[in-house]
Amino acid sequence: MRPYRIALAPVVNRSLPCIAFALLFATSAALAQGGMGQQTRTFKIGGPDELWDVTMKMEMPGMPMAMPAQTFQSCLKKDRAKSEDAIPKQDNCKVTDVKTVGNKVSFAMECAGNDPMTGRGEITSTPTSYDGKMQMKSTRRGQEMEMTQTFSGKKVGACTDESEKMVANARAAGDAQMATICGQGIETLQYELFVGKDAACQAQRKAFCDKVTGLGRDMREPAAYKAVVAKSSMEAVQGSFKACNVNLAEISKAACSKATSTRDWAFVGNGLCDDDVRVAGATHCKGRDYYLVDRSLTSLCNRYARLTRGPGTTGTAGAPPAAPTSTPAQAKASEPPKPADPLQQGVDALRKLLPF
Amino acid sequence: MVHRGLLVAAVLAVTLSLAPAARAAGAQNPWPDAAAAYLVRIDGIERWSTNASTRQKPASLTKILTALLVLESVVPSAEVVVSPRAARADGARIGLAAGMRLNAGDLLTAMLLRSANDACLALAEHVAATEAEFVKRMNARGTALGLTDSHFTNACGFDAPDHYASARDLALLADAALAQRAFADIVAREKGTARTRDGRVFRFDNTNVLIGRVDGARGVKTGWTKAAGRCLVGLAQRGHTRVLVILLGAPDRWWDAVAMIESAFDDARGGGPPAPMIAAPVPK
Repeated sequence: MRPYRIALAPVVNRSLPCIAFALLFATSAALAQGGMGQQTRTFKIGGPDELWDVTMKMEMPGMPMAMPAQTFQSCLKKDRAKSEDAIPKQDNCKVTDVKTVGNKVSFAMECAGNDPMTGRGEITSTPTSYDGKMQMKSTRRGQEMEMTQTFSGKKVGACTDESEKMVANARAAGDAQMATICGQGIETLQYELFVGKDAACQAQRKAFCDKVTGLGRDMREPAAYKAVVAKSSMEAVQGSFKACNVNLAEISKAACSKATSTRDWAFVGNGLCDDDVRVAGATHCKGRDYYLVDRSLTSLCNRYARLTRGPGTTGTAGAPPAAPTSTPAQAKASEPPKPADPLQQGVDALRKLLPF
Repeated sequence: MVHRGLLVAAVLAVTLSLAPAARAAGAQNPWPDAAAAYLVRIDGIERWSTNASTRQKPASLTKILTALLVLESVVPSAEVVVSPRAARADGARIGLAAGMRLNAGDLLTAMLLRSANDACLALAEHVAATEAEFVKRMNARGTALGLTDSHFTNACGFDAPDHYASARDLALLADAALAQRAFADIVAREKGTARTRDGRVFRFDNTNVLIGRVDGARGVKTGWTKAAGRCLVGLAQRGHTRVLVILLGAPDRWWDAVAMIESAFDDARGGGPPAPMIAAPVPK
């Protein structure tokens, strides 16, 4: 059976109709969720509101077997008669023609949608119980259908509806988590979180850029520059400084200059100091055999080789000259002897100049 | 006048049509003078090369295939007895004497790091009784690997008319050898030792000077003979990116290998920001 939903037109101010509406809401909710097992609301025993045991049963003529009665619990607001909270906001159905006589309320119901339905119902109630019945008619594929729903309720105690609290708690937890993410984002320079119209941490953009500006002051020192890059990544640093309009190139240049003056060749050769590499490399790398270069210079010299010999360079004009070619007496499968002394290097250089 | 206009137009058209090809060719061979043949691969894909399929003298790069066959034939703990012929081997050697007994793993280390020909011959004779028999197996294994421009006449890389390999074949060979964990572990070492069964220890450095100097360098094999010139199969890995360089007949192989490796990693980053400086090699 397709679940129906209820739209309550009038805001009633009496307890009896309100119970009916709450019951109908509970019934439709239970139907919509497929029964008690998937009830969406949660209750806590002990609280200001009323806990009701609700039983309902649906009968349809022509069905091969009777549908079993369903029982579930529902928490109703104690002040529901005075509060709009008790009135469910449901589409498709509306309740009209509400009449109250004594402890009995009667009403009519119309449901729109693909399978429109109409019907009437009545509920008799006391402050601690109710019984009701509703008959509905529907025409589906040209065939008229009838159904009868009976329901009853009994107040069993007090309860608190935890749903709203859960939502509030979840929202608070989400906010706290987001605050943590944004805080970490500032520390690790995840600029995507702070840049753009839909950035998740846009509200903290100023804090983020203040952080970036502060880092920029520190990063003029190579050690601080290294530490910042190690903590995040070069891509993150570049993206963050660009996002905050902080001139990274100028800061990098200052750090490179400092690194060159302190002979921090590992920093100079990192790919950010290419102007310095060309100058320092010409002094410390050019013209040397690679395997004779001091290991403290390898970062500088590797970058120098890349800049002077790699694609996109102007050729090998500025590159180190070829290593001396040794000419062993025999063609043996071995490593060429490394130049033992300056005299040998001179001989080898002379050989290269001779046309044989 | 009309003819002259047509001529200018034709020249212009030909020039324009050739220009992209020329640029592309330049991009494929940025080191035209670096080597008789070279090949640079990034994550298994050829990026730059010249004469990659031409047959060159491979010198001691031959020992990559020898090592592969040894690893496929014996366990590292197998005892090898050095023959008089192996003890007399020419060229690079660690000084083995006839009758010495060593583990095959130690001889492999000496052969791959020091390029020791005495260790190389001892291993070949241990696996196949004679070097000639071992060479037959080398060529069969090479064929099985799909080496179409390679042929071997000795186990250790001595120059010979029919002893040759192409850069592309050597890349395939390096792939097969590096798939052997023992090979990959040995060639990445900066130093090695070989110990005889009676306790004598030979210590040697890896002839691949990129290890410890180039970030992520994992060695592989060097080679040199007069005919072959300076040769290198070099591997470097940074993060998940692997760069393999093959240089044959490269007068300035170290500087050019460094330039190729650094350029390849730059290329793999797509011209992006340079690598973090924490990845720079630590001077020792």
